[in-house]
Amino acid sequence: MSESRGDTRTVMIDTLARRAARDLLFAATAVGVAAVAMAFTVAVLGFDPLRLGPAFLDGALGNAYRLGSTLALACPLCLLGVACALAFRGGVLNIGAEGQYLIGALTAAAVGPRLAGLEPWVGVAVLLAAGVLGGAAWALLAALLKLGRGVPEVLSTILLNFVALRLLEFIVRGPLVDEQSIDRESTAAIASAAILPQVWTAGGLHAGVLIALGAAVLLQFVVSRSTFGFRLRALGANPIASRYAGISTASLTAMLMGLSGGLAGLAGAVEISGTHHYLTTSFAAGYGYTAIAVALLARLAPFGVVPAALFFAAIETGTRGMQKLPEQAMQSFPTVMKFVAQGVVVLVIVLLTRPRTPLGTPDD
Amino acid sequence: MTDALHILTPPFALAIGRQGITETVPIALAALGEVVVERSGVINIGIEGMMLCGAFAAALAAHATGSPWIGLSAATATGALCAALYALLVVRLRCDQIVTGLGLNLLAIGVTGIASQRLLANQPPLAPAGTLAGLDPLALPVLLLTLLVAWTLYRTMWGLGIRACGDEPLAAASAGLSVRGLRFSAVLIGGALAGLGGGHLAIVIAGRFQEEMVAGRGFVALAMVIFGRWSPSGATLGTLFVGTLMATQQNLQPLLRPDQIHTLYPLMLMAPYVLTLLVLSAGFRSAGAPAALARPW
Repeated sequence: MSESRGDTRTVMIDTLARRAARDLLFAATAVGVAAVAMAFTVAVLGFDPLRLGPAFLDGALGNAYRLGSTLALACPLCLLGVACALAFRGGVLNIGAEGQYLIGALTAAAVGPRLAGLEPWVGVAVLLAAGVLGGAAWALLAALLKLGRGVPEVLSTILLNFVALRLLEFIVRGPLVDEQSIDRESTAAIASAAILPQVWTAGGLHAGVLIALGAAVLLQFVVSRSTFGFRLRALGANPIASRYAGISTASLTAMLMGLSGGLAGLAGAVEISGTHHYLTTSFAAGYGYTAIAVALLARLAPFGVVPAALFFAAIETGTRGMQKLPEQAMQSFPTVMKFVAQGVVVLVIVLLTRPRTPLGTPDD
Repeated sequence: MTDALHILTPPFALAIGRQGITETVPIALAALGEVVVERSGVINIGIEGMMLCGAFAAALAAHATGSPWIGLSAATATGALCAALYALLVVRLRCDQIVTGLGLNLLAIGVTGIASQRLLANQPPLAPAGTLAGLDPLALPVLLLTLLVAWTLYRTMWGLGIRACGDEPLAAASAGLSVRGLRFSAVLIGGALAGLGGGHLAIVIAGRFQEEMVAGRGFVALAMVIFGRWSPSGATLGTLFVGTLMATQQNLQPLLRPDQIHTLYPLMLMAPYVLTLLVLSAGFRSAGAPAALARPW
């Protein structure tokens, strides 16, 4: 690069293009290795991967309804992925998207039944706001522990995930239980004014897809073009240098944590408002953990989260397609298969992006 | 109310104590291993997954041979094997330690889940490992191990090297030590102990393998390493708190009416994580952390 003496703009565009190409190559490699790993797993179990491939694609994209399901599933994954990408970009290790998502769904489901009689868009807005606030508050607990007591957020957010899961179970069975339900495992349905409208009826797709897409575009802009985005990238790249540059790292960390938690909470509220319409104790599906793989596959770029979320959503719905095959053993297959894909993607990305040997340390 | 007072009687307290020790053992094993790992400058978030792999291997081996001891040995070996993969990635190839650990955890859930559905479906409960001096079979070994780890870390050349790698790897390398070799050995030991802890969970506590049965115990162990300020005795003591709470919570269940259990059971399951968070926020000052923790070499 150094021999190029052309204007800096050309050089910048050149490096940006090169970086985009490299990110794309990394993502493609990770997806490729994950596909091979899944095919290998299936083969080890004694099935013919070539026969399962079409079933997989059919399950993910086979008809309007299945495509719609994949897109609907990509909504929470996209919002959660953006939440993780944003925090990781700023060097804040928020592994708690799962817990923040559950609390967001919980606050949304608590507010939802009380919104009857409101204008539809007001009802939806209030429900989503409740989810954002719930998720943000849960994330701020971890920020408080980090800034006040020095507890590393990696650990506090993971532990808070377990707390959130049990808290959800307790509140759904206790204070919020729908007295009419037989098993006492669900809350009352939210008011119709709080339900997100459908945007594609054939696919059963709700307007959450527009919210997810909007959030990805908006945050891509915030991260790459705003002062706040510059500060957060600086914090992620070098916290000490950021402090010397006059950035208040503590308040920025808290803000990032709150924003990340708010997005995760929004994902929970969108799921309640768009898909479930009430909360059950079996709501948790580990999407908050999937989101970590989503964010890494997207190379922490909010807009890159969109295709990454679609990929992991397709894995989830695609494996449901396998379930419909005649083989007995396939019926309990899908839920764990996705973890293999997620783990492989995370490990391949981490391997490809390992740091070069810095100065002063022995070379390989 | 009279029912509730029954908890104060000596036999009941003794039962809680004994069960508390059993619940402590797997977390203490993982935490002791993690003390060694973190003292060498590596943080292993993947111990959760290593425990899970250990639990699976223990169930598989114990089922195949009928011997709980072969099961526990298989768990230890499997934990070390997972740790070798982890060490290859983070020590040799210098990958990000946190992200690699998270990736391994995900992979462990997937692989053990698929393999157990295939190999361990509808198996009868595993043969129990019996007791040692009236206590959990691994209770005394854990106590001895705590002393052994402390002695090794503070009184041997190897321990000095490990601590040097964790605090100032450049100095360790200048003194002619192999930072990577020492860190590799520490990670292997940590993985072996985490695997053994998982094996104990499957053989002694549950009597079988269940998907995602580790349920955050690895993360609790990580927290207790911090609470114990990276000392072996501190880590074991910290896990004893959590183990005792788990046992208390299980012994309180019969005192509740069935309809109360339905709503209150989640709160009881939540208690160990809340306690861990409280203990962490009450006791934690970053002093004592290895200076080069999570810094690749």
